[in-house]
Amino acid sequence: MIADRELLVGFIGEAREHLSTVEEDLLALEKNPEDKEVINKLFRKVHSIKGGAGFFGLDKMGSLSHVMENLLSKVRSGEERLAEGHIDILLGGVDQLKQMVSDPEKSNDCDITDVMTRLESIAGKYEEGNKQTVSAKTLDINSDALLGFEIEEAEIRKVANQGMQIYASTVFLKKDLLDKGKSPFKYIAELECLGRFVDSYLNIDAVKGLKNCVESDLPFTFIFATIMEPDLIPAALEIPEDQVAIIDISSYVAPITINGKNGEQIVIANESGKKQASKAKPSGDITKKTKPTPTCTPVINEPPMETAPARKSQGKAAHVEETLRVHVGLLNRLINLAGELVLGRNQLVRETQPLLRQHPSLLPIIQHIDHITAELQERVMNTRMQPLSVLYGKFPRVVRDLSKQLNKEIDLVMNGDDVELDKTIIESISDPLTHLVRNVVDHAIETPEEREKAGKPRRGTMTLQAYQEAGLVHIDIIDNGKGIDPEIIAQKALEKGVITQDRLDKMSDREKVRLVFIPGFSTKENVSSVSGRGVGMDVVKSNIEKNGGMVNIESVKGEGTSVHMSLPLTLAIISSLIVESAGHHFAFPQVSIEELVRLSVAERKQHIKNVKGKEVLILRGELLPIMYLADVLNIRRTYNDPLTGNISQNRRAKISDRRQSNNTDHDKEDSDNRTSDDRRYEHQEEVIRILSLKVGENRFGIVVDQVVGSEEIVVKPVPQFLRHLTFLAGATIMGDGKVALILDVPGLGTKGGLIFTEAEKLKMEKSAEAYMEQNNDESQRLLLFNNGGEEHFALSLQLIRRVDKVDPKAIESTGDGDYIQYENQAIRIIRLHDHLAIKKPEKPENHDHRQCLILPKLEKTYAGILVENIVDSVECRLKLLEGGPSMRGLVGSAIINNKITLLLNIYELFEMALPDKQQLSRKKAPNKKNRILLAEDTQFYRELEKGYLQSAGYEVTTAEDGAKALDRLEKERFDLVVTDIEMPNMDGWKLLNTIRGITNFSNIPVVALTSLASDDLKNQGLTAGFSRWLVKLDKTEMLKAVHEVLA
Amino acid sequence: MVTFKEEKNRLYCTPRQDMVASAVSQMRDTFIAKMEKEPERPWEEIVLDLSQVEVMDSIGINLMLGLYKESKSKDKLFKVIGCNDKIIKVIKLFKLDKTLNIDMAKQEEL
Repeated sequence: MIADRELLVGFIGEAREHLSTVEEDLLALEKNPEDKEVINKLFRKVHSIKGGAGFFGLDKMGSLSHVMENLLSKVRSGEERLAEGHIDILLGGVDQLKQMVSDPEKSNDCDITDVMTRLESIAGKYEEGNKQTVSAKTLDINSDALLGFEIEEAEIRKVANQGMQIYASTVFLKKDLLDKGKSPFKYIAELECLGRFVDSYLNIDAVKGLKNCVESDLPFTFIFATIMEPDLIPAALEIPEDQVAIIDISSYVAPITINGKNGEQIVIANESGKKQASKAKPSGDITKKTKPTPTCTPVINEPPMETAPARKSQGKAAHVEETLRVHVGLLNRLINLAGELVLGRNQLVRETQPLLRQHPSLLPIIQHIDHITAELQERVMNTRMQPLSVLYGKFPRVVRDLSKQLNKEIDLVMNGDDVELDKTIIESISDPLTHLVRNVVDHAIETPEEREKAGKPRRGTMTLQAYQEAGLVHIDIIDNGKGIDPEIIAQKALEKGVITQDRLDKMSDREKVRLVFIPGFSTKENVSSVSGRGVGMDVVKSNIEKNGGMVNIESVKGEGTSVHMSLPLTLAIISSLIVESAGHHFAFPQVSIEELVRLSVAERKQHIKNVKGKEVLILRGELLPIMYLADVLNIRRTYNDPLTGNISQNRRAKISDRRQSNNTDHDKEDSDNRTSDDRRYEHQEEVIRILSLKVGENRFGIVVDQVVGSEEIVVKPVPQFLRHLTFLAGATIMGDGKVALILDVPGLGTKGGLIFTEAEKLKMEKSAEAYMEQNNDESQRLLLFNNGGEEHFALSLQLIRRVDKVDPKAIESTGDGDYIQYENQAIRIIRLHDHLAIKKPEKPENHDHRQCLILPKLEKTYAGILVENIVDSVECRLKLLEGGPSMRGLVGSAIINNKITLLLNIYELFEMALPDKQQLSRKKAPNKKNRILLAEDTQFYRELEKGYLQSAGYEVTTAEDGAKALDRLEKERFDLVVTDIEMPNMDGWKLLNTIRGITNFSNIPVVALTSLASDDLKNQGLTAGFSRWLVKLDKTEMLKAVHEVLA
Repeated sequence: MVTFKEEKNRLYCTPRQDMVASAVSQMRDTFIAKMEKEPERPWEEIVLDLSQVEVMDSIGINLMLGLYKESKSKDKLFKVIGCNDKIIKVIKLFKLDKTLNIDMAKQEEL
C-alpha cells in the first residue's frame, strides 16, 4: 500500500509541475497563438494529467483534463484558433485542476460543472461531434464485434494505465489501401508511428477461390492503442468515421488504495477486477477476450509498475533519471545531522589543538575531517535551496489576470529566477511578494489612458529582479507607474492619527513614503479585492523581517516605485555575534546588529542620558533606549574586574552610574557591610559595550559584558519548555561544547520595553532635540591617533573608509615607495613624518608590534596613512587654535582631551605624498583665476574648505556668516558664492534670497555646502535657486561641482 | 509470371515477380490454368513459394488467399514458403499465419 501511496504522491507532484508550467504556456500562447511547439507542449502536459487521473480514478480531474485536452487537440489540428476568451477559460480549468491536485482525496467531490460548461461551450461543436462518435461507436470490451481478437488482459491494463485509448478499426484493403496507392506494409508502418497494434486480423471470408479473389475487398480489422483522441483517429487512419469504434476499457484502470492520515485505507479509484488469467482463452480461430470479473476487493494484485514507464514515455525520462524525490523530513534530518557533525568537528578541533605538537600526524587527519565536514554541510544545506523560479512562476498569471480585471496593460519582466534561497524562506516570502506584485498592478501602474495623458507608453512595466550579494539575496520589485505621492501618504497618516504634524514637518519625502509600512496604513478608501485582502505593507515588512530580512521602498512621484527586499540565504546557519553577559554566552544574529559602541568612563556621562525615566544612548544625535542584557533576561548582572579578573555582582542601578546603588535591602545591607577599601570604583580602563540593534524603524542598545567574536552558528530549535520565551530564536553549541542561546532581537526589544511607539518616539525626540540644542554646534567626529612621537593627530571620521592593524614586516619597498598588500590591492604607505614637520618615531623595541593603517575615503586612491596607535574616537566641537602649529597638510590644531592635537588635511597630505597621482585625479585648473566667496561660520570647516578651493587654483575670500558675506559681495566682484546653510545673523537661505533679489548679483551662482544631507532639503534648496547642494568634506565632489558651475 | 514445379505429390508455385495489382490478374489466370490441368496422380499439397516476391500488395494477398481457398475447396494442403520479412510482418498482422500454413524458415532451402 505504501507503494500505492507513493505512486499517487508521485503523480500529484508531477501534476503540480505540469500545472505550474501549463499556466506559463497558456500565457505564452496568448501572445503567440500560432506557436505549435507550445500547443504541443500544452497538449502533452494536459494529456499526461488526464492519464494519471484516469489511472488513480480521479474522475473529475480526468474529465476536466479530458475536455481541456479536446480543446487543445482542436487547436493543434488547426480547427480552432485560441482567442483571448479561450485562454481565460483554459486558465480557469487550470485553477480548478490545481485545486483538485491540492487535495486529490476530495477531488471527486469538487463541483466542476461551471468550468466544464464553459470549456464545453468553446469546444462545443467538436465535443458534440465527438460525443456522438464516442457514444455511437463505443464498444463494450465484451462486444461480439470484438470476436476474433486475442488480447492479453495485461496488455489492456498496460495501455489503459498509460492513458491510451483503444480503438477497433476496420480498413478495407482495396478501397482504403489499394485505391489510395498504399501497400498494407506501408500502411502498417505508418500506423506504428502513431500507436501500437494490440491485435489485428484479416477477415478472409469474402475470398471464395481464385476466380473471385481479385475483386474481393477484404476488411482488415485491428485493435489499435494510442493517446490520440477519437476525433483524430479517422483522419489518422484515413478511413471513414463509421469504421472506427472506441473500446471502453475503463474497468481495466487499476484501482488504488492509499493509507489515509489516520491509518485508514481509502479507495480512491474505481474498483476493478482482480487479476485474470494472463491470457484469454482462444475459441477456435477467433478468440474472444475474457471479461474482467468485478470485485469489491480494492487490492491491486498486479503492481502498477507500468505507470512509471508510462510517465517516463511522456517526456519526463531525463528528469526521472536525474532527480529523485526525497521527503523534506529526511532532508531536515540530514541537515540536523550535518549540523551536529559541524559541532562535533568544532569540538574535535578544539580539544586536539594542544595535542598537535606531540602528535603532528593528527594534523592532516583533523584537517581532512574539517574539510569534509565543511563540504558535507554545504552540500546538505544546498538540498534545501530552491530557485526563485518556484515563486516567480505564478506572477505572470497574477499580473495578467489582475491587469485584465483592472483594464491595465502591464509587461512583467523577471530576472534572476535562478537565484536560490532556503525552502523555508521561499515559502515565507511567497505571500509578501505576491502582495507586492498585486500592489503594483492595483495601485502603482496607471490605466493606459492615464499613462498616455502623462506622456508615458500605454503599457506599464513591472520588473522583478533578484540577485545575490554579500551573502544576502536581494529582490527588487520595480515599476514605472505613478509613484507614491509623499503628501498623500502624509495626509492619510495624519488623518489616521499614526503620526503628528510636528513629526511630519520634519520628515523628508523619502521618510513620508516609508509611512506605508506603519501598521494599519492603507490609502485606499475601500479595500480592493485585488491587493487589500486584509494584508498591508506592515505585514509584508514584518514577514520579511521575521526571516531576518529587510524591506525598503523608494518612490518618485510620476516616475515609479521600487521596493527592495534583502533576505538571508538560509535560516539554518546564521552569521552571529557571540557576546557574554553575566557569565553566559549569547548569540545575536548579525543582520540585526547595526554597530558596536564602546564607551569609556569619560564618554559614558556624555553619551548616556536619562530621558523620561529611561536610559538612552545619544549616538550621533539619535537617542537609543539602552538596557543591560542581563536585566532584560532577568539574570543577575556580574562585574568582571579588568585588573584582577575577579567576578562579582554588578550593582549599578544605571548604566551611566559610576558607583553601586543601594536600591534593594539586600544590596543595602551588603553595601553597609563593606569598607571603603573594598568599595569598587570605576577603573579608567573599564568600558561598556553596547550593541546597537535595529528592529524595523526602531533602534535600541543592549549592554553586554564582553564581545566574544563573530561565528557562523548552526541554529537548533529551542527546547519545548523554553518555546514560550519569545526573546529566544534558538540555541547553538559552541566550539567549546557550551550551549549559547540565540536571541530574537524583536522579542528582546519587546521584553525590555525598548521598542517605542510613535508617540513615545516623538517624546524622546523632543527631549533629544532639547539636548542637541544645548549642544548645538557642528561637532566633528574625529579619530585620534599618534605617530609614535609626542604629537597627537586627529582626522575626521567622515573621511575615513577603514582602519586596520597591519604587520610592518608585510610592508614591501619599491623604488616608487613602500607598499602593503591589503584587500588584494597594493596600498601605498604614507608616513606622516615623511611629509609633515614632525618628529620621526623611534623604532619600537618590540618588533612584533603591529601598526595601524588608516585608509581614507578618497576616490581611486590606493594609499593609507601608517600610524603607531589609534588612541580614541571622539565627538567634539573644534575650535582651531590661533597661532597653533600650522603647516601644509594640516587644517590647523585644536585642544582635544586636553592635548594639542594636529588636524590632518587629508587632501593636502596626499597631494604632498602622491603628487603625480593626485594631479591626475584633480580637475584641470581653471584658466582664469576665479574668485570665490566662502561663507562658513565654523572655523574648522572654513579653513578646510578654503584650503580645498585654493588647492584647485581659486582665489578664496571667507566670511563668518551670511551678513558678512553679503557685505563682501557688495564691495568686491566674485564669480561664485559657496555658503553654509546654518549660520548666525544670516543663514544660507536668506543669503541666497538676498543675492537673487539684487540685480547686480542675481546671476552669481550660489552653491550650498552643508551638513544637512536630506533629500527633501536638497530638493528645496535646488528649487530655491542654489546651483548645487553639496555635503561638507567631500573635496572631490565639491571641486567637481565648483568647476561645473563656473564652466 | 509464375513457374511451377511438381515434386512427388506437391505442386510448387513460384511467382517470379512482385504480387502487385498490375501482375495479379495474369498470375491468377496462370494458377487457374495450372489447377485445371491437374495430373492423374493428384497433388496433395500446393506450395506457394514467395522467395522471388519482394512486394505483395492487397491484391497480391487476395491472390494468395484465393489460392488457399481454391486448394482448400479441392481438399488439398496449402503452404506458403520463402516469405521475406516484410511479407511475414503483414501475414502476422493479418493473422494469416493462424489460418494458412506458412513456413517461415524455408526460404534458405529454396
